[in-house]
Amino acid sequence: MRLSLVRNKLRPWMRFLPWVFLVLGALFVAKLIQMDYVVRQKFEGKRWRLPSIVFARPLEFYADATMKSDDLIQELQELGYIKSDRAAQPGEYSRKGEEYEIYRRSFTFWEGAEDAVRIKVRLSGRRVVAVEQNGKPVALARLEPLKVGGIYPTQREDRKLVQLKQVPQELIQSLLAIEDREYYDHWGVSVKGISRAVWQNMRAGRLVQGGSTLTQQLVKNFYLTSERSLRRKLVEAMYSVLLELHYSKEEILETYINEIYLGQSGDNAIHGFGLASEFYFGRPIESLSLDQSALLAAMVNGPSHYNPVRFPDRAKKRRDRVLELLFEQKKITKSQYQAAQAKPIKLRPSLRWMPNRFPSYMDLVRRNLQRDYEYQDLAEEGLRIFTSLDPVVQWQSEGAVADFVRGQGKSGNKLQVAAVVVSESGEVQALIGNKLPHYQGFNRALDAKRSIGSLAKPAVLLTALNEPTKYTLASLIADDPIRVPLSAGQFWEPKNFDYANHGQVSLLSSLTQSYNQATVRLGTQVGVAKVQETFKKLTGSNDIPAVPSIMLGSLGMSPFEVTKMYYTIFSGGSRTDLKAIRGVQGRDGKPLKSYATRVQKVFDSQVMHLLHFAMRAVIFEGTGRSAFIYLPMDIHAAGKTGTTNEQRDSWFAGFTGDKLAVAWVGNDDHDPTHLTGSSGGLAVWAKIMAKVSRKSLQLQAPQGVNYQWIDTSTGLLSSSNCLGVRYLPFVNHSQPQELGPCQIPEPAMEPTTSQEAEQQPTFDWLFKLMQ
Amino acid sequence: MSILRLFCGMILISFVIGCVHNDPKPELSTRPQVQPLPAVSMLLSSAEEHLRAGHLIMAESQAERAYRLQPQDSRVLLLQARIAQAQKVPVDAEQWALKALDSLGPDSVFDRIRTWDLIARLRDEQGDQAGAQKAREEARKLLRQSQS
Repeated sequence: MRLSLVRNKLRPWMRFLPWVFLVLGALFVAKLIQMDYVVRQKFEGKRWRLPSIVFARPLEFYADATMKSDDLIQELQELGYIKSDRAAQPGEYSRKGEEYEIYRRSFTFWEGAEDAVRIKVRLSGRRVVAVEQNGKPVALARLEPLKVGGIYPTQREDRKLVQLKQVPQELIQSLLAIEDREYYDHWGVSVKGISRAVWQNMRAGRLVQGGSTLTQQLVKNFYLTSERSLRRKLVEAMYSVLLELHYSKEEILETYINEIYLGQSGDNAIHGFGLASEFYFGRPIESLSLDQSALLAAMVNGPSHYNPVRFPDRAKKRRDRVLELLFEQKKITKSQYQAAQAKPIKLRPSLRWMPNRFPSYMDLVRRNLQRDYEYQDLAEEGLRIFTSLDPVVQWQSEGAVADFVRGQGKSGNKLQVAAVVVSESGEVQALIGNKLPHYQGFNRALDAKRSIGSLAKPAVLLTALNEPTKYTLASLIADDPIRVPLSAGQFWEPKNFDYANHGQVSLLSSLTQSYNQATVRLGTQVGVAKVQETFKKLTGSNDIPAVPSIMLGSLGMSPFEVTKMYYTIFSGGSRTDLKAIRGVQGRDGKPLKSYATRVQKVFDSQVMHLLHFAMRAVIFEGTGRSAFIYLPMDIHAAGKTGTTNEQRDSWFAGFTGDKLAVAWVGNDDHDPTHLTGSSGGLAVWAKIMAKVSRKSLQLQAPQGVNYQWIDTSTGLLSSSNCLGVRYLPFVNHSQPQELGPCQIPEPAMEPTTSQEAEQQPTFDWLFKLMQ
Repeated sequence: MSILRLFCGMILISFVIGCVHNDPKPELSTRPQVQPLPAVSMLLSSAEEHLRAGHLIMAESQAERAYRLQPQDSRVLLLQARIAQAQKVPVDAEQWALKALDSLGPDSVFDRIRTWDLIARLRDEQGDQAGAQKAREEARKLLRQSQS
């Protein structure tokens, strides 16, 4: 009776129960479908947002290339090469005196993929004298380039994708042995594994083992948050089963191998065994040894806890446990086990790779790339960007700047420095935007527009020399007070730096001694419009005002823009866009865009030869003399100092036979620096050049240039036996025809023996000194 | 005393001579001293092969590599000109050829004639008839000089 009563009471509910189950079932199925969709969409779509990788230039080995042992060793260490008695594996090198054997890793260069090769290089007297590749003499070989940066999305994850077939069996076995020995037998969730973990944890009285399968670990990292709850565990299990239903064990394992977190490099997370093997051991994943494989597998459980750099003993203990498991599971023999266990933990020498160690240069690269690519593509598509950054030149330039700042004492605290170094072919090899090389803020090399002062004077002289029938280096001009009319009835009256007048001076002296009055007089004679045109041709910029003050450099230019202007002079009259990027590849190594060099001839080489001569004289006898405090005696150079009003900016721009460099020193707030072009910019420039330049400037007169002995006081023809004469170049026989006061006949032998001519300036100096 | 003064004077003179850098006499040879590097020759051969096969991207990358090693080598500059021509960019090709002329010495008369001829053709391609004519005149002038 009571039962029927209860039944009667429940009956209305009972009637709805099937519907409730149906609805719940439908909801469950809907959720399952949604989860299934998520699983498939993420797994089949773009699995990772791959940052672009930025590479430096590859170091080239060829006979006659200049190379110092120290530089080579530094580059090898930065690339993670390990020194050994015999380079037996990719990523190792050996040294016998000046002979290096390098087992270079395989690499996809801009020009194509190259296999791992043994390169033998012999150096002598700072030069490469012989190169062999795989035992055969070759004309050219190269190292893989240094990775110098990346362009990242908001999450800074680094990874190098690898395929399962690239992964050594020993690594896979190590991973399965320590993390999931039933991997090939379960459906994403292992009841046996969970039971074993529960038992182990109960026995230990604390959490010593997790029961998650590799699939669950992948799901946790790939689809879920790090929340720890029963609900999340259930979802994780469902996702794991769904994943296993859709994809093969191999596909899941390959994804796991690329996804797993294995440590930290600065702000960047290291994901995947592909990158981890390069980061920790400096070698590609294919060539990992048994002990190295075991160590990487050992770290999976806790990359920070088992960090081999910070806790080598703990990491070794865990590695040995992995080896023990491999031996117990008969995956390795006893001798393999013992040999691997006996090995100490040996990591690559330089683990201080920072993703953005050259921030100023990277800034330049990023700006160039943004002309052609969207930021999202750069941050997510895994592009490979090949730059012209020369890390050796960059480090040495940074060292030179640090040295200069140290030498300034307390005043160095406020001073700022910027510098750019460019190769003969117009590639930017180093860029310094701040005296502190790792500073990521305001990039002075690119953005500090400062008056260039006397750096403008070569442009004025060039404008005049471009009219060889009117002006030569021997032409005289008055260095006296000058009034230049401006608009609104005003006048500009420039003064010399020493406030003195020097009377009649040659155009050559006006540059070497940096006379303001003579330069402005010359510029006014040739015409401001023509000077403006010269600036436009040199810089490639139309943003040059047609005002007289440009002759003394009262126009704001960044060090990078000045470098571009001086490159046109350095190259003998051909302008080019200074190059920071050589090419961009897709993540698969296919070329996407090349940044080929383009040149534009804007000045004749003859006129440029005259300007080179004059700028070289700046260093030999003019305002740039102090360069020889730092420059080696055998490196000749040409350049120009620049100082602006109240010494707010101190510049030097100049070149040797193989490098052009521009250096600026100043205060960000435009306060005076108390430095002239010689004591500031020149010192930085010369310190940089002393370290990076290997080739002296050689003046080679092009066709159409002839040299004549000139009396410097009158600018007239003279002969080599007279005092106060110079041997000067002229374009197209534009030398003066009139004879000067001294005409001692030439000896029977023409002084081709340059010794006599070479001595002349010395005695000239001495003569002046005696006077 | 005067001996001491003479001695000091000599020391001063030798110090000054030792300290002052000689402004070396410029190399008056008008032929640029570019010694061809075997590495550059190898890259040029490879670039030539790619150019013949129509693989312009590869030809360009090899020529660029050679240019980085030896930017003053006229062979490199002329090859850059030919590659730019094959890429149908005669403006760039002409600039490379003009740059190559600066690197050719006076002895390389035949190369100079060929380069002027190339410049003439490149100017034709750009529709610059007057410029092309001028380049041809330069080539003829050199030819006459070489024959006389």
